[in-house]
Amino acid sequence: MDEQTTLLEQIMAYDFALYDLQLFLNTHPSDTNALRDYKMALEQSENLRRQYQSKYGPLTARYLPNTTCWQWINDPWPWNNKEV
Amino acid sequence: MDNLNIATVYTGNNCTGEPIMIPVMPVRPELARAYVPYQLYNKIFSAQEGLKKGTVFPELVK
Amino acid sequence: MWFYDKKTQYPINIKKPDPRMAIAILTQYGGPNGELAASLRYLSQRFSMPTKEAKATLNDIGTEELAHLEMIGTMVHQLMDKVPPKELEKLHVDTNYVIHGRSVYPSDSNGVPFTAAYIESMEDPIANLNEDLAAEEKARATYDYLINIADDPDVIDPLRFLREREVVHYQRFGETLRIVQETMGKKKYY
Repeated sequence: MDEQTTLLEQIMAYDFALYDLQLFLNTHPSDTNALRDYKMALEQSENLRRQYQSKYGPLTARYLPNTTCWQWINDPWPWNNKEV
Repeated sequence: MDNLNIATVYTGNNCTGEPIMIPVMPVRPELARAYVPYQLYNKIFSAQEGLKKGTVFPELVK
Repeated sequence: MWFYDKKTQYPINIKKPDPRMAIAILTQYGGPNGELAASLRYLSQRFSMPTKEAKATLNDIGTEELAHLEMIGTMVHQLMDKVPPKELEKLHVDTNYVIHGRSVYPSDSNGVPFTAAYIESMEDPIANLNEDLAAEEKARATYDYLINIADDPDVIDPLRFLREREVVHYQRFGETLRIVQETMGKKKYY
Protein backbone atom coordinates (compact mmCIF):
# COMPACT_ATOMS: atom_id res chain seq x y z
CA MET A 1 0.00 0.00 0.00
CA ASP A 2 1.51 3.34 -1.01
CA GLU A 3 2.03 6.27 1.32
CA GLN A 4 -0.98 8.25 0.06
CA THR A 5 -3.34 5.32 0.64
CA THR A 6 -1.89 4.64 4.09
CA LEU A 7 -2.38 8.25 5.15
CA LEU A 8 -5.89 8.39 3.71
CA GLU A 9 -6.86 5.21 5.56
CA GLN A 10 -5.58 6.71 8.82
CA ILE A 11 -7.81 9.72 8.18
CA MET A 12 -10.72 7.38 7.43
CA ALA A 13 -10.12 5.68 10.77
CA TYR A 14 -10.18 8.90 12.83
CA ASP A 15 -13.06 10.43 10.86
CA PHE A 16 -15.02 7.23 11.38
CA ALA A 17 -14.33 7.26 15.13
CA LEU A 18 -15.56 10.86 15.16
CA TYR A 19 -18.81 9.92 13.40
CA ASP A 20 -19.49 6.93 15.65
CA LEU A 21 -18.87 9.15 18.70
CA GLN A 22 -21.07 11.89 17.20
CA LEU A 23 -24.01 9.50 16.98
CA PHE A 24 -23.39 8.41 20.59
CA LEU A 25 -23.17 12.01 21.80
CA ASN A 26 -26.47 12.87 20.06
CA THR A 27 -28.22 10.62 22.59
CA HIS A 28 -25.73 11.19 25.43
CA PRO A 29 -24.97 14.92 25.18
CA SER A 30 -23.62 15.34 28.71
CA ASP A 31 -21.23 12.35 28.65
CA THR A 32 -17.89 13.98 29.44
CA ASN A 33 -15.88 10.81 28.74
CA ALA A 34 -17.24 10.60 25.21
CA LEU A 35 -16.64 14.32 24.74
CA ARG A 36 -13.03 13.90 25.85
CA ASP A 37 -12.44 11.08 23.35
CA TYR A 38 -14.17 13.09 20.61
CA LYS A 39 -11.79 15.98 21.21
CA MET A 40 -8.72 13.72 20.98
CA ALA A 41 -9.91 12.11 17.75
CA LEU A 42 -10.69 15.55 16.30
CA GLU A 43 -7.14 16.75 16.92
CA GLN A 44 -5.72 13.62 15.27
CA SER A 45 -8.00 13.95 12.27
CA GLU A 46 -7.25 17.64 11.71
CA ASN A 47 -3.52 17.02 11.97
CA LEU A 48 -3.58 14.14 9.47
CA ARG A 49 -5.84 16.04 7.07
CA ARG A 50 -3.45 18.96 7.07
CA GLN A 51 -0.59 16.61 6.20
CA TYR A 52 -2.59 14.83 3.51
CA GLN A 53 -3.91 17.92 1.79
CA SER A 54 -0.53 19.65 1.62
CA LYS A 55 0.97 16.60 -0.10
CA TYR A 56 -1.87 15.16 -2.17
CA GLY A 57 -4.44 17.88 -2.74
CA PRO A 58 -7.89 18.79 -1.48
CA LEU A 59 -10.19 16.53 0.54
CA THR A 60 -12.81 19.27 0.53
CA ALA A 61 -13.42 22.15 -1.86
CA ARG A 62 -12.61 24.54 0.98
CA TYR A 63 -8.87 24.21 0.39
CA LEU A 64 -7.04 26.67 -1.86
CA PRO A 65 -3.24 26.53 -1.57
CA ASN A 66 -2.75 28.50 -4.78
CA THR A 67 -4.80 30.58 -7.18
CA THR A 68 -3.35 29.30 -10.45
CA CYS A 69 -5.17 25.98 -10.68
CA TRP A 70 -8.40 24.47 -9.28
CA GLN A 71 -7.30 21.17 -7.78
CA TRP A 72 -10.64 20.00 -6.43
CA ILE A 73 -11.39 18.23 -9.72
CA ASN A 74 -8.20 16.11 -9.61
CA ASP A 75 -8.29 12.35 -10.09
CA PRO A 76 -8.71 9.93 -8.50
CA TRP A 77 -12.25 10.28 -7.18
CA PRO A 78 -13.21 7.99 -4.31
CA TRP A 79 -15.01 5.43 -6.49
CA ASN A 80 -12.02 4.87 -8.77
CA ASN A 81 -9.85 1.82 -8.20
CA LYS A 82 -6.37 2.32 -6.95
CA GLU A 83 -4.08 1.70 -9.91
CA VAL A 84 -2.13 -1.49 -9.28
CA MET B 1 -22.08 13.85 37.79
CA ASP B 2 -22.09 10.61 35.77
CA ASN B 3 -24.35 8.07 37.46
CA LEU B 4 -23.52 4.41 36.90
CA ASN B 5 -26.76 3.22 35.36
CA ILE B 6 -28.43 6.41 34.21
CA ALA B 7 -28.00 8.71 31.24
CA THR B 8 -29.17 12.31 31.37
CA VAL B 9 -30.63 14.49 28.66
CA TYR B 10 -31.78 18.07 29.19
CA THR B 11 -34.84 19.97 28.05
CA GLY B 12 -32.80 23.07 27.14
CA ASN B 13 -29.83 23.70 24.87
CA ASN B 14 -26.25 23.46 26.15
CA CYS B 15 -27.17 20.85 28.78
CA THR B 16 -29.34 23.33 30.69
CA GLY B 17 -32.98 23.21 31.75
CA GLU B 18 -34.76 20.28 33.35
CA PRO B 19 -32.69 17.06 33.44
CA ILE B 20 -34.43 13.91 32.22
CA MET B 21 -32.95 10.72 33.69
CA ILE B 22 -32.96 7.67 31.48
CA PRO B 23 -32.07 4.36 33.16
CA VAL B 24 -30.53 1.53 31.16
CA MET B 25 -33.94 -0.15 31.32
CA PRO B 26 -37.10 1.54 32.65
CA VAL B 27 -38.07 0.84 36.26
CA ARG B 28 -41.77 0.63 35.31
CA PRO B 29 -42.08 -0.36 31.66
CA GLU B 30 -45.44 0.34 30.04
CA LEU B 31 -47.43 -2.14 28.02
CA ALA B 32 -47.59 -1.69 24.24
CA ARG B 33 -44.19 0.04 24.15
CA ALA B 34 -40.78 -1.04 22.89
CA TYR B 35 -37.64 -0.47 24.99
CA VAL B 36 -34.03 -0.76 23.85
CA PRO B 37 -31.43 -0.74 26.66
CA TYR B 38 -29.56 2.58 26.89
CA GLN B 39 -25.84 2.27 26.24
CA LEU B 40 -23.37 3.47 28.88
CA TYR B 41 -19.86 4.63 27.94
CA ASN B 42 -16.90 2.36 28.59
CA LYS B 43 -13.65 1.92 26.72
CA ILE B 44 -13.50 2.43 22.96
CA PHE B 45 -11.36 0.73 20.33
CA SER B 46 -8.44 2.49 18.69
CA ALA B 47 -9.47 4.35 15.54
CA GLN B 48 -7.89 1.70 13.27
CA GLU B 49 -9.54 -1.19 15.05
CA GLY B 50 -12.86 0.66 15.20
CA LEU B 51 -12.86 1.19 11.45
CA LYS B 52 -12.16 -2.50 10.80
CA LYS B 53 -14.87 -3.63 13.19
CA GLY B 54 -17.46 -1.07 12.07
CA THR B 55 -17.80 0.59 15.47
CA VAL B 56 -15.55 2.01 18.20
CA PHE B 57 -17.79 0.39 20.85
CA PRO B 58 -16.74 -3.19 21.78
CA GLU B 59 -20.12 -3.89 23.38
CA LEU B 60 -21.89 -3.16 20.08
CA VAL B 61 -19.89 -5.63 17.97
CA LYS B 62 -22.45 -8.29 17.03
CA MET C 1 -26.86 21.58 3.99
CA TRP C 2 -24.29 19.04 2.94
CA PHE C 3 -20.60 19.20 2.20
CA TYR C 4 -18.64 16.50 0.46
CA ASP C 5 -15.56 14.85 1.84
CA LYS C 6 -13.52 13.37 -0.99
CA LYS C 7 -13.16 9.85 0.37
CA THR C 8 -15.37 6.86 1.06
CA GLN C 9 -16.19 6.19 4.71
CA TYR C 10 -14.48 2.77 4.49
CA PRO C 11 -11.73 1.77 2.03
CA ILE C 12 -13.01 0.06 -1.11
CA ASN C 13 -10.63 -1.37 -3.67
CA ILE C 14 -12.07 -4.34 -5.53
CA LYS C 15 -9.48 -5.89 -7.84
CA LYS C 16 -11.53 -8.74 -9.33
CA PRO C 17 -14.62 -7.89 -11.43
CA ASP C 18 -17.76 -9.89 -10.62
CA PRO C 19 -20.89 -8.78 -12.47
CA ARG C 20 -23.19 -11.25 -10.70
CA MET C 21 -22.09 -9.94 -7.32
CA ALA C 22 -22.55 -6.40 -8.65
CA ILE C 23 -26.20 -7.08 -9.47
CA ALA C 24 -26.74 -8.75 -6.08
CA ILE C 25 -25.26 -5.77 -4.21
CA LEU C 26 -27.42 -3.38 -6.25
CA THR C 27 -30.34 -4.21 -3.93
CA GLN C 28 -28.61 -2.09 -1.29
CA TYR C 29 -28.47 0.82 -3.74
CA GLY C 30 -32.07 1.08 -4.95
CA GLY C 31 -33.86 -1.80 -3.23
CA PRO C 32 -36.38 -1.92 -0.37
CA ASN C 33 -33.82 -2.32 2.43
CA GLY C 34 -31.11 -0.28 0.78
CA GLU C 35 -29.20 2.86 1.62
CA LEU C 36 -31.20 5.20 -0.63
CA ALA C 37 -34.41 4.16 1.11
CA ALA C 38 -32.73 4.61 4.48
CA SER C 39 -31.36 8.08 3.76
CA LEU C 40 -34.62 9.40 2.30
CA ARG C 41 -36.64 7.89 5.14
CA TYR C 42 -34.56 9.43 7.92
CA LEU C 43 -33.97 12.77 6.19
CA SER C 44 -37.72 13.08 5.59
CA GLN C 45 -38.75 12.03 9.11
CA ARG C 46 -36.34 14.46 10.79
CA PHE C 47 -38.64 17.43 10.09
CA SER C 48 -41.39 16.26 12.45
CA MET C 49 -39.19 15.02 15.28
CA PRO C 50 -40.11 16.65 18.61
CA THR C 51 -36.83 16.72 20.56
CA LYS C 52 -33.38 18.02 19.65
CA GLU C 53 -31.76 14.61 20.28
CA ALA C 54 -34.19 13.01 17.82
CA LYS C 55 -33.63 15.71 15.20
CA ALA C 56 -29.86 15.27 15.46
CA THR C 57 -30.07 11.47 15.31
CA LEU C 58 -32.37 11.38 12.27
CA ASN C 59 -30.29 14.06 10.57
CA ASP C 60 -26.93 12.42 11.21
CA ILE C 61 -27.90 8.81 10.55
CA GLY C 62 -29.65 9.96 7.35
CA THR C 63 -26.44 11.70 6.35
CA GLU C 64 -24.34 8.60 7.08
CA GLU C 65 -26.66 6.52 4.91
CA LEU C 66 -25.80 8.77 1.96
CA ALA C 67 -22.15 7.87 2.56
CA HIS C 68 -23.17 4.20 2.55
CA LEU C 69 -25.09 4.73 -0.69
CA GLU C 70 -21.80 5.97 -2.10
CA MET C 71 -20.01 2.86 -0.88
CA ILE C 72 -22.55 0.55 -2.50
CA GLY C 73 -22.40 2.51 -5.77
CA THR C 74 -18.61 2.31 -5.67
CA MET C 75 -18.70 -1.46 -5.15
CA VAL C 76 -21.18 -2.01 -8.00
CA HIS C 77 -19.11 0.22 -10.27
CA GLN C 78 -15.82 -1.53 -9.48
CA LEU C 79 -17.38 -4.98 -9.89
CA MET C 80 -18.83 -4.15 -13.34
CA ASP C 81 -16.46 -1.63 -14.82
CA LYS C 82 -14.65 -2.71 -17.99
CA VAL C 83 -16.20 -6.21 -18.02
CA PRO C 84 -16.64 -7.05 -21.72
CA PRO C 85 -20.33 -7.14 -22.74
CA LYS C 86 -19.99 -10.70 -24.06
CA GLU C 87 -18.96 -11.75 -20.54
CA LEU C 88 -22.14 -10.18 -19.13
CA GLU C 89 -24.15 -12.13 -21.65
CA LYS C 90 -22.44 -15.41 -20.68
CA LEU C 91 -23.19 -14.74 -17.01
CA HIS C 92 -26.84 -13.91 -17.77
CA VAL C 93 -26.63 -10.42 -16.31
CA ASP C 94 -27.07 -8.70 -19.66
CA THR C 95 -30.74 -7.72 -19.10
CA ASN C 96 -29.52 -4.92 -16.85
CA TYR C 97 -26.73 -4.04 -19.27
CA VAL C 98 -28.97 -3.45 -22.29
CA ILE C 99 -30.87 -0.76 -20.38
CA HIS C 100 -28.13 0.86 -18.33
CA GLY C 101 -24.84 -0.36 -19.74
CA ARG C 102 -22.41 -0.96 -16.89
CA SER C 103 -23.53 2.14 -15.02
CA VAL C 104 -24.99 2.34 -11.52
CA TYR C 105 -28.79 2.80 -11.51
CA PRO C 106 -31.14 2.91 -8.49
CA SER C 107 -33.02 -0.36 -8.76
CA ASP C 108 -33.09 -3.62 -6.84
CA SER C 109 -31.32 -6.79 -8.01
CA ASN C 110 -34.29 -7.70 -10.18
CA GLY C 111 -34.21 -4.38 -12.03
CA VAL C 112 -37.26 -2.98 -10.19
CA PRO C 113 -36.66 0.78 -10.03
CA PHE C 114 -36.48 2.53 -6.66
CA THR C 115 -39.76 3.78 -5.23
CA ALA C 116 -40.68 5.93 -2.22
CA ALA C 117 -43.24 3.21 -1.44
CA TYR C 118 -40.29 1.54 0.36
CA ILE C 119 -40.36 4.23 3.04
CA GLU C 120 -42.79 5.90 5.40
CA SER C 121 -42.66 9.30 7.05
CA MET C 122 -45.50 10.05 9.44
CA GLU C 123 -46.00 12.92 11.83
CA ASP C 124 -46.07 10.50 14.77
CA PRO C 125 -42.48 10.12 16.05
CA ILE C 126 -43.16 6.80 17.80
CA ALA C 127 -44.46 5.26 14.59
CA ASN C 128 -41.50 6.70 12.69
CA LEU C 129 -38.90 5.42 15.14
CA ASN C 130 -40.39 1.93 15.25
CA GLU C 131 -40.24 1.88 11.44
CA ASP C 132 -36.61 2.96 11.65
CA LEU C 133 -35.76 0.09 14.02
CA ALA C 134 -37.38 -2.36 11.60
CA ALA C 135 -35.56 -0.80 8.64
CA GLU C 136 -32.17 -1.23 10.33
CA GLU C 137 -32.85 -4.90 11.08
CA LYS C 138 -33.95 -5.54 7.49
CA ALA C 139 -30.82 -3.86 6.18
CA ARG C 140 -28.67 -5.89 8.58
CA ALA C 141 -30.35 -9.13 7.44
CA THR C 142 -29.82 -8.16 3.79
CA TYR C 143 -26.10 -7.68 4.45
CA ASP C 144 -26.10 -11.13 6.08
CA TYR C 145 -27.49 -12.58 2.85
CA LEU C 146 -24.97 -10.69 0.70
CA ILE C 147 -22.05 -11.77 2.89
CA ASN C 148 -23.30 -15.36 2.61
CA ILE C 149 -22.94 -15.34 -1.17
CA ALA C 150 -19.73 -13.31 -1.43
CA ASP C 151 -16.28 -14.89 -1.71
CA ASP C 152 -13.88 -12.03 -2.34
CA PRO C 153 -12.39 -10.48 0.85
CA ASP C 154 -12.29 -7.10 -0.98
CA VAL C 155 -16.09 -7.37 -1.15
CA ILE C 156 -16.81 -9.06 2.19
CA ASP C 157 -14.84 -6.49 4.19
CA PRO C 158 -16.93 -3.43 3.29
CA LEU C 159 -20.14 -5.51 3.50
CA ARG C 160 -19.24 -6.53 7.06
CA PHE C 161 -18.58 -2.89 7.91
CA LEU C 162 -21.96 -1.82 6.52
CA ARG C 163 -23.68 -4.65 8.41
CA GLU C 164 -22.19 -3.54 11.71
CA ARG C 165 -23.31 0.05 11.06
CA GLU C 166 -26.92 -1.18 10.92
CA VAL C 167 -26.49 -2.73 14.37
CA VAL C 168 -25.17 0.57 15.75
CA HIS C 169 -27.96 2.56 14.07
CA TYR C 170 -30.53 0.25 15.66
CA GLN C 171 -29.08 1.06 19.06
CA ARG C 172 -29.23 4.84 18.40
CA PHE C 173 -32.81 4.71 17.14
CA GLY C 174 -33.66 2.63 20.23
CA GLU C 175 -32.17 5.30 22.47
CA THR C 176 -33.98 8.03 20.53
CA LEU C 177 -37.26 6.16 21.04
CA ARG C 178 -36.52 6.01 24.79
CA ILE C 179 -35.94 9.78 24.87
CA VAL C 180 -39.11 10.55 22.88
CA GLN C 181 -41.19 8.20 25.05
CA GLU C 182 -39.77 9.77 28.22
CA THR C 183 -40.27 13.32 26.99
CA MET C 184 -43.76 12.72 25.70
CA GLY C 185 -44.62 11.19 29.03
CA LYS C 186 -43.85 14.52 30.67
CA LYS C 187 -45.96 16.81 28.51
CA LYS C 188 -48.91 16.25 26.21
CA TYR C 189 -47.97 16.05 22.54
CA TYR C 190 -50.54 16.65 19.86
